[in-house]
Amino acid sequence: MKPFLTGHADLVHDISYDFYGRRVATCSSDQHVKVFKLDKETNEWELSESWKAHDSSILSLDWAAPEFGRIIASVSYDKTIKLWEEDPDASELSGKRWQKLCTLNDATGPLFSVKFAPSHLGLRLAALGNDGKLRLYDALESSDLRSWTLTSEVSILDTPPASHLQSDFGLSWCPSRFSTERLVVSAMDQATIFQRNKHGKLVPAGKLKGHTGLIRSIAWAPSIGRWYHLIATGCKDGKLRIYKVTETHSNVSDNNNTNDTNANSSSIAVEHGTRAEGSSMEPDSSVPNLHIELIGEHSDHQGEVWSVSWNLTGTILSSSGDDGKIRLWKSSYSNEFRCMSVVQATR
Amino acid sequence: MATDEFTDTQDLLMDVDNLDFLTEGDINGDGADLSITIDPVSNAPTISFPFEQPSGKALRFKFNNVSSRSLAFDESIDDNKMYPVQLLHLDESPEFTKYVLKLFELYQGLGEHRKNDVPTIGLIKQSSKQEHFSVVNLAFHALVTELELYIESIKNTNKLQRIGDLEECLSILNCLKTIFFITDSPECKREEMLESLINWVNRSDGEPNELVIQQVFDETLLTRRKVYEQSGFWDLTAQLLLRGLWSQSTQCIKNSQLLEHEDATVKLFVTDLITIIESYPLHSESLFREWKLSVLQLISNWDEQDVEIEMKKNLLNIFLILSGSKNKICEFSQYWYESYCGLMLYYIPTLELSHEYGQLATKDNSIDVCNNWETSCYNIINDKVADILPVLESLDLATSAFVAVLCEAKGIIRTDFHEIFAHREELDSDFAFRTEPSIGGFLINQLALTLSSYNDKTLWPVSVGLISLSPDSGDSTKRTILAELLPHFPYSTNDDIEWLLSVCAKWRLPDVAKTIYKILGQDTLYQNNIVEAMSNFSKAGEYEWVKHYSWMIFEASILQGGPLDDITINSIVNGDTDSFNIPKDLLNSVVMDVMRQTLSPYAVLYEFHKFVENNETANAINHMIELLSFPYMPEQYCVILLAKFFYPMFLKTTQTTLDESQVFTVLKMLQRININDACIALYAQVRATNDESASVSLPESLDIFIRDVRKSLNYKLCQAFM
Repeated sequence: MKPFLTGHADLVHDISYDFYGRRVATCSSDQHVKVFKLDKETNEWELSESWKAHDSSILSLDWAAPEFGRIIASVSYDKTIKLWEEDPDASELSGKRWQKLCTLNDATGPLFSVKFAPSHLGLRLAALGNDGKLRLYDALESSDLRSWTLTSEVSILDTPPASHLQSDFGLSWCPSRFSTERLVVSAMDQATIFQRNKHGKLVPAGKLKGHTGLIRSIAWAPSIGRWYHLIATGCKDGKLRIYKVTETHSNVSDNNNTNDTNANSSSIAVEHGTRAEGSSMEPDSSVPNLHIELIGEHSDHQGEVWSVSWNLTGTILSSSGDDGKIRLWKSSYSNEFRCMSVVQATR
Repeated sequence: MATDEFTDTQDLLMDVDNLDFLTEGDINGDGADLSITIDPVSNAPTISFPFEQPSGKALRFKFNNVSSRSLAFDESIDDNKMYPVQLLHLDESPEFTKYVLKLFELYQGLGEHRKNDVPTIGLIKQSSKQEHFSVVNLAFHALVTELELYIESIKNTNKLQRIGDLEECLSILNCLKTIFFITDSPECKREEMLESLINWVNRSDGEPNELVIQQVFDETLLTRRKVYEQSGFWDLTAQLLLRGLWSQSTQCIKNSQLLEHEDATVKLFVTDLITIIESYPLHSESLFREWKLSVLQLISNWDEQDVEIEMKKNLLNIFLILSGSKNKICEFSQYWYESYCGLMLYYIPTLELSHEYGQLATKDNSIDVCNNWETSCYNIINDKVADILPVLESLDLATSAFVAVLCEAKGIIRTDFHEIFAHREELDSDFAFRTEPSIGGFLINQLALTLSSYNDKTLWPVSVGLISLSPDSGDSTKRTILAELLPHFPYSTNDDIEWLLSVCAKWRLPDVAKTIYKILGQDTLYQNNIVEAMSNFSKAGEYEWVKHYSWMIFEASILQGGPLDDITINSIVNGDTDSFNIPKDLLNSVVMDVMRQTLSPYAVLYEFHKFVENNETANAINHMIELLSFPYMPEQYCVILLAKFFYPMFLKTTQTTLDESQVFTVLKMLQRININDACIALYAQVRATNDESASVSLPESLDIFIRDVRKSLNYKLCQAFM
């Protein structure tokens, strides 16, 4: 497999693979989305389609699960979320193969991240941006993908960050089909886990503590065969952090005590700036408590950590950073993450 | 003559064309060797990107679900390329697949012997433990053989790093086999253990290399001294003996001109030495005692001889090594494992003294701590088998996983692993995934999960098999793992799908099967195979989607103004498979009950088209009225049924009469419908698709059209009364 030119005329901000890894979509500041498909014969990526998708820089995109068809969501600085569906009857590279399904424009600021929920939750997507609001949309009728409903809106930040300051936002869904609906959201230097309570509302369930700079990337690991969850963050402070999240049945006050005694652990922590739906600031007792533990903090990149990502089964974690290196991390029997290999770019 | 000379010269020249030089094409992602350095910060092996290098400015990387297709990119204005990343230890070669399949066969074949369980109830045979050990030992030997074959199969490739790693694995495994997997077999012979020891030591480093041997023998040409007059010769002989390379050592002695020595005594003793070496008793302990006695006798006799001092000393050293002198063995060893092997061969060949030999061997020749296999072998000798597993894992996960399982089955892993997980007790006890972990179980699980991210679907059955056979997890845990994993199976043929669904059935995973059917449904939809898509959606329980696509078929038929050109759909609604040449069984296997039900409006429309075609107007009107009065008919379709057929065919022609009930049915329908956006859009589409030459033109707006329909219906009502 050889390197290939995306043909984007500006910065590439995000890439996303389809479920089987046979297609990759890229988005850029040139306002275009491009889809490449893997040629089985040559094992090379080939451009399938390119189209102008937004009126400003596109910062993030994601593929829906294959049960729902070939659908891509993209978010942009133009404050909109757009949903695209592949039309197999239109020829490739015609500019018409990906048809816009709808535009969602509830955001009041540039949008930074969009992710479809795991398929067992239905056709749902979450988006987050500079207005500090996490919004969840659902396609209530699976046969009508043009109609999306805003089903949840949660304030992540009290006040949106000043436009002249650098900001970053990210989100990642808990991919396990055997867990309560959960997602982790990073806004500036804060990361919070949200989960749905029995009333169907999204409530904060805990914070990932310890970040001292903008969180550049956040990834919830697939927890196949594991009784706990792992979340990784890459931060501007130069650290890759790995958190272990376990459900506990102890009461809230117990957890808060744990919180006080262990600087690296946190449980339900509704802090300043984090608002649950319905403006409830109280922890919700109808959902399982989460025990969050920082199990790894690595500054091997010796500079900003730009991205973190897990492999399909959550057995390998990757991090890439300012040192121009990709580090692959693997857990030992004792759940200790060690760098197992490094891929180096020329610098 | 000139021709001959030319031919001779040609022989000396390189035939460049016939040489298998590495071409650019050979250096692809799969075949190219990786040059590895060590990252100073993480102390981990470092490789470069396989082809072009990204600049590394704001480097980003995202894992693909198929790991080998993962891409990296720079979020930089100067670079908008995507860079494939070659991952270390990710071997997607067919040879690796074959190796893993073989190992899995072995693992599967172990059956009950996968666990180190001694039966305590039922009929307990005394021999059961022996039998268990014998089976496990046999499996371990087979594993080592498979690894050798695997290395052999890739030795001609340019994957030097991979071959090196696997050779290290093999060295560790050979040592493990020698110490733990031979002697307790009931049918074990002493020679097997010693042969395995010799094989381990010699395969590990390939010493003494040909160059050293050549040097010893070639030096005589330069110095004009006899071979045995050089110290190198005696060192070489000692080394060969310490490594149990007896035939090589006797050959070396024979070639050393010692047998042509002018002193008859020396000649005699050398002949005796050769006889002694050649008669080393591998198979018998009692014979070994006798053999050792004869060596000691030889030493005593040699001591009494009056020969040249240097010769006396050199030959004595060799005799002393053979007699098992600890000091001489250690003195003449270059490496600790040579001492270990020498002590084992010539002192007392027993594993009971293995630990002591290990300590003694490392006193003079320390272990190369940078060398994985040396430290691991020393750990094995010191009974620290658990410590070698991380090393094996870093070299090859598949090998380490199966080795760990066999070691556990043998009961030779002693670890504080359970203590590591003791904190789990503090946590909630209701976790579905709570299981007693074992190193083998952990590694097998890691392997199963890792193999499913390979671009090789033949490894999936191994993945599923490993999860199914996992000794540590209960069935519920296995089901949850499979439920998460199975939808990712990269199916491509019907057989693949059959296999996938059979696994779902076996593990009672109906929801996963539904997910798979949904994915299949979408896939077939993109291939324009709507019937199969609907069939898959029916099986997935997605009745809304079946309904949706049935209505789409219905809509397409209206807009087309006739039956669709799809013979499968038409044969479903027609029920006549013969005229469409579709086997009835095949059709029945595809068409679900829910499909027949949802396709019934199209069936009526299809019949309507046939009646129109045959000029059976009365039947056609009846069918149209049936459709318009269908209570679940979406409003937009009522509108286009009217616009496309009813209005031009039956309302705007004076020849056609409608009876009173038919008129009232349509009027009631008009009363019922709410004009919405979909109605307006479809009406516009019907207008647009209507032929310009159509005899009846439709009014511009839907409102006018509805008014016109009412007006015409009133007229038809009057006509009915008249």
